[in-house]
Amino acid sequence: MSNASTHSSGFNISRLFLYIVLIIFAVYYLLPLYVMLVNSVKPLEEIRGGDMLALPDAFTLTPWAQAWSQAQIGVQATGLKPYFMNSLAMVIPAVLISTLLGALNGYVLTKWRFRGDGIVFGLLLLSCFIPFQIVLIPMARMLGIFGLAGSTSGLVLVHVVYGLGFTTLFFRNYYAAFPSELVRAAQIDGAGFLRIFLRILLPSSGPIIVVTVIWQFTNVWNDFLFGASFADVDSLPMTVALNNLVSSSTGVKEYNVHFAGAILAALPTLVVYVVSGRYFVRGLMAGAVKG
Amino acid sequence: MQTSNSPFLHIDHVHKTFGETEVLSDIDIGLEEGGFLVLVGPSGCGKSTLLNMIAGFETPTQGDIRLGDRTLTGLHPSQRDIAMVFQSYALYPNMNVADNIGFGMETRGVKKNVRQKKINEVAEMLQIQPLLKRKPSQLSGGQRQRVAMGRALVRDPRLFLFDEPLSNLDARLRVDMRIEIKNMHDTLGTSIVYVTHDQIEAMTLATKIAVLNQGQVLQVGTPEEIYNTPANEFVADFMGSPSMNKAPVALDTDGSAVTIQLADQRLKLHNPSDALHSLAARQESVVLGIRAEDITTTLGQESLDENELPLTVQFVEPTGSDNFISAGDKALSFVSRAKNNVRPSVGDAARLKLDMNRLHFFSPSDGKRVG
Repeated sequence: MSNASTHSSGFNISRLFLYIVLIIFAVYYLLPLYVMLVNSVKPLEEIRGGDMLALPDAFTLTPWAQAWSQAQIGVQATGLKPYFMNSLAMVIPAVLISTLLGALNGYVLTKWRFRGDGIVFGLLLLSCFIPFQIVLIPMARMLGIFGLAGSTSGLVLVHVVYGLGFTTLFFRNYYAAFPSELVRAAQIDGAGFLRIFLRILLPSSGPIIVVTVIWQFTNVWNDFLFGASFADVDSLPMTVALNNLVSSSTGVKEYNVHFAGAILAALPTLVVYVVSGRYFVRGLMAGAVKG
Repeated sequence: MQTSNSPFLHIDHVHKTFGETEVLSDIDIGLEEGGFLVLVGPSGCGKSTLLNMIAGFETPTQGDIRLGDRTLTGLHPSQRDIAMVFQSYALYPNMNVADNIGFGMETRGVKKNVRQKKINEVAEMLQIQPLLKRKPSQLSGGQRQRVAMGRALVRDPRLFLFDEPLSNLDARLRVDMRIEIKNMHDTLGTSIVYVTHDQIEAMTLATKIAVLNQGQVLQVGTPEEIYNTPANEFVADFMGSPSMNKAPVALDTDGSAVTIQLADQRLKLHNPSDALHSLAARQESVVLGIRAEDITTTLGQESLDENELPLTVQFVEPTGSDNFISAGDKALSFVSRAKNNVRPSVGDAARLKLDMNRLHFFSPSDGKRVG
């Protein structure tokens, strides 16, 4: 770089400025994560001692083990582990079902248009804007009627219904840009409704599936209100359990355990983002550019 | 039962309305077996809607479409024994070339080894064997076009449908593929319906052309009929490049001969039609039409022959092989086609000789041909 031309040296100064700004923002956003990580591996006395930003003197993983399997949440000292499993048992079917139904809806609303399809889509979209609080009581009543009150299946149903508006919107916009001539070609080739969906559209939907899965996964995993309202002791999701852990009013506040628990609760969404985040932007763009 | 006088493909008085708008009105076209029908017209004329109705993506509001001894109305696209090549090629993006060609056979449950054999046959015919394992995104426009044709060919249908298949190719490739489609038709002898807005494609490929505009068939005929005796002003304008020259002229008659007045010259018509005779008797006006190649332009105006018009050169458009010379003034101007060694300058005096056997006359009121 020492013998760089005038062109690229001017370029480098603006680059440098850019990097400085970016680094400042990165630090700003990473600081909370740093605080959580650092304090989750310190003994409690060290946190009480003062400096939140200092690296640990005595490194320990005990808070993590406690948060995972020993902390007192509710009646028994089970740690967050069973609630983590509850969340998984809720998130995985909820994401899969809402994504699949959203894809089917998008396919029908773009490629098998019917009278009044615009109204159906409009109503589905409307569900994206209904505040959660409004549906709490009617939803509780519905779950009671279905016999799903207080169960993980009930939560799955709630999240599928609530997610359908968004997943439909994602897939509808993606498939709107998908050439209808392909569907026609497949019809001449003798493929029916489901075969066209499964063989032609779905295999070409990678980016939008990623977007929908990330969106649904984070929303369902991070949901607190529905979990707190509709779950029973044995189906409480991670978010509610974390709250119970942190806000328990008796005994000593074990900040290190709380930090570890909070990271555990955030970990799955973090992993989903890191693994497939770059497809997220790509998928969001794919529908937008051609639409 | 197919009677001897009913055509192989019969578009029988078909109407199509979307809501209030009538997009096709009383379309009646027949095509003999092995024929090549080109539906041509400007965009929005309804030609693609008509093709979609033959394919089964749209249903006629009224009328019927028959292929052979079967009526197609109500049949699913896959049961019509047709194959279609789309404008965008519509290759399945997630499948490789072989699977694209074989998808129809796969849905019909054809055994894998039979499928493979047929795919290879078609690939050989179109010279795309090296591409069989590639995805459509890895192909050039011309290659995609070939694969799309392969997918249609492998079906061995009774009727091919082409929806502007060449419009996405560059000019050179378009000419090559045009020849290839023509050769394919000559070899296979399968009937084809082909939609285009390109009048040159229509002229070169068709055994029968139907010119459509605003949902109506203006003329059906062989390319020669359409070109040499256009039924109305629109067809005359649309077919041929450059467009036909047109000028309003007053008819007159001295009892036996019909004459027209053009640029201070009185021209005597050869074999005027009865309609022209009666219009001339009433001294009515008509629209004269003449194609660029039916005018001979010579430089200089020293001596004027009979049937020659003295006009001034307005501009010259060299195309390489020919020069298109525009001569006249604001009121009257003709484009003529000349060899590339005839190269006048703007403002030069010229004389234009009209081929009196190649004149067209249209009614000024409805544009219909009168002689």
